[in-house]
Amino acid sequence: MNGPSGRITISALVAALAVVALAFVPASLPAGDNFGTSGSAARPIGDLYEGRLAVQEFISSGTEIQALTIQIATYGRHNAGKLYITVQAEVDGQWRTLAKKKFSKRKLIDNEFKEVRFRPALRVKRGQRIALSVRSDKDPSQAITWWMNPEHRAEGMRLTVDGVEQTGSAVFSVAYKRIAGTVGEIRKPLWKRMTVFLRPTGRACVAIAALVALLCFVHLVLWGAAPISSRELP
Amino acid sequence: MKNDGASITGASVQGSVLRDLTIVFALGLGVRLLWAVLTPPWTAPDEPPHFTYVAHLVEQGEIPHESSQETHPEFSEEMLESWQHTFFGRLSRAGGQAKAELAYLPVHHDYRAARRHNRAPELRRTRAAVSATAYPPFYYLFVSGGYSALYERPILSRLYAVRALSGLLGALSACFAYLLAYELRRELRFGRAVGLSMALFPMHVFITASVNNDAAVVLASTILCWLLAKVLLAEALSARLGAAIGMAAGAILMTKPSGVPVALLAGALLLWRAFPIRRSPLQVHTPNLVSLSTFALTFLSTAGAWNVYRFTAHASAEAGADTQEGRALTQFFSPAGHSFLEYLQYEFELGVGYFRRILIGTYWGNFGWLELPLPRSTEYLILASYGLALVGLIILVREQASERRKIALLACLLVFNVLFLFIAADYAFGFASTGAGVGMQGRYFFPTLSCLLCLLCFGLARIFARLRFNAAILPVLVGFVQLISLRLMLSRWYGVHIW
Repeated sequence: MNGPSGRITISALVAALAVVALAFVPASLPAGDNFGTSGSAARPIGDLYEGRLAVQEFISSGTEIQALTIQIATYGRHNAGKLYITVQAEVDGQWRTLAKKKFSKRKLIDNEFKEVRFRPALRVKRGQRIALSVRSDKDPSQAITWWMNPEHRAEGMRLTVDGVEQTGSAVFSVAYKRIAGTVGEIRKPLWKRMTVFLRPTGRACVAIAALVALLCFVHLVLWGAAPISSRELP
Repeated sequence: MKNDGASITGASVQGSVLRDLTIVFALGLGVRLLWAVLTPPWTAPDEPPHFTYVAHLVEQGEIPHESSQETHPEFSEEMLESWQHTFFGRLSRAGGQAKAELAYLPVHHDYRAARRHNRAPELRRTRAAVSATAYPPFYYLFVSGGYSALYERPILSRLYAVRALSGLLGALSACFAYLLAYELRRELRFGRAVGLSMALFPMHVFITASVNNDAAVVLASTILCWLLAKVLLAEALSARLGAAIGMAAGAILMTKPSGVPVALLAGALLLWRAFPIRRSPLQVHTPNLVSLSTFALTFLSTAGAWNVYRFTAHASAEAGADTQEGRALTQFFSPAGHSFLEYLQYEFELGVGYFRRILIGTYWGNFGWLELPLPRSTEYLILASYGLALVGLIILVREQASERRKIALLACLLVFNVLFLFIAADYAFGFASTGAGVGMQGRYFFPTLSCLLCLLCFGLARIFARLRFNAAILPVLVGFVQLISLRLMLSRWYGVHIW
């Protein structure tokens, strides 16, 4: 077993074990295209208080919205009242409410990125129009605001304040629920994702190259690190 | 493995070396092929201009050069369309934007258009090779074989073929790094350790798995470093060794200027061996002189041919004396704008963080268009290993007089490479005229990467001399950083999280 063929056999076995072990490693991949507008060139959308409503519409690129994040500002105050966030989806021309959340304005931090997580994730359809509404109660002295980027324009996005369309988009981001599991469980979508630019022949070549590299690495690690008692002959 | 030094024969050692080289090569090539396909198209530094050079060679049958009569575009229409299909401008910060538009490659997108994109030859033509135009053609001629072989195939197939050939050069570099370490220490484990480390070194893997002439200059420089180790340790030089050094040095000048320091030191070392100071000039050793002569001959014939061609075939009112080298020399000796003293002050004001970013950050791993750095904790780990290795080297040099010359050679190559590039490139090309540097990157210092890896390996092995597998410390460290790099890359470009 100490001959070259024996060593290669052992190396191959260890490499195979490594592949099996890899199958149990946790992994995840995106199921939708997380999206966010940048805060550069941002300005406030205007005061949000009782009776005012800001709505950001966008097109969903995934099927399960896990979190939405908005950048709000408090004008450096601890404001009284509540911040209301509503998520709606357009179904057959009608808006259907998917989630409603409220937060105490007193606990908001000025200019923070307020994340709203949904458990379970909101089920939507890819390509479906989604509306993210933000409103606040109390009088103007307790107003908060939402940052917007007037230079950001993207297909399917529409920002309105009290029904009046604004130029640009609100500063927000969408995070879709990921496909999670072990490498072994999600190996097919994982492999497909990592080789999007390859044709089947290319994918096969890469798989073989990776396995050969692993085998060589294992072989060198197993048999290459031990010293020989005296210096070898030149 | 039997620890029986007496039973080892020269033939079996040679057999072991050849086997090791095969394994190191296969590993290096396998890792590079993986990176070649995982790195999204065009998202490696300067890949578009380098690929344009290759395409220009094949499509238009000439070495690209600036010509006032050329009407073709800078980048081919085929490539520009491929950028759209592969989201290059939106995925990467190559355009200089503060933040990339896309978090990762879109999930729900049909990539068939990108995979199949292929345009007629007239839409593949270019004016020259953009920023790569001035480079010598050695590397591009080699990798153009991949482009030609898949000429009828889509552009991405051609790109991957060229990347694969580039990766082959990178894998060969690892083999010569093995030989360098083995030449110096005469122990297989050190050869394996350094070869394995170079095969897995993250930034080297990334760059050589893309279309970039760094792959060729690093190979030529590593070969030259190995040959210089032979020069240092040989009792007498041979004509064959001189010729080999001449060819390697000439090859460096035929690929990229970043290897020039190694070529210069090669000439200096040969001169020193041929005319040692302690000897009388009348006692010059004839074989060494022959070696020096063959070096000069092969060097001039290798590098000279290209430069003669360049200055005659492409001579024009613009190209005549206004070459990159000419400008650099003019700036250095009679700076039009800023003195060298101002440059030193400027560098001092940039602080330690600047040098850390260049010599550690972009050296070990900053992927994409320098937009995907390794985690700071990994950099600290690398710095700690540098510190330990330095202590180990000091102990080694104090303990073993026989190792001093070898360590000195490696250190000289490394330090001279760094200093030369800062002075000749950053100052002469950049600061002297503009008051700002050219934007140094770690990969510019890759010609002496094998020397650094040898120093690290030897130093760490000495510090941990009591451990049986002390030579394995460096490859374990490099392998660990390689895994982190792969994970980082998959996360950024594909949104895939592993572990």
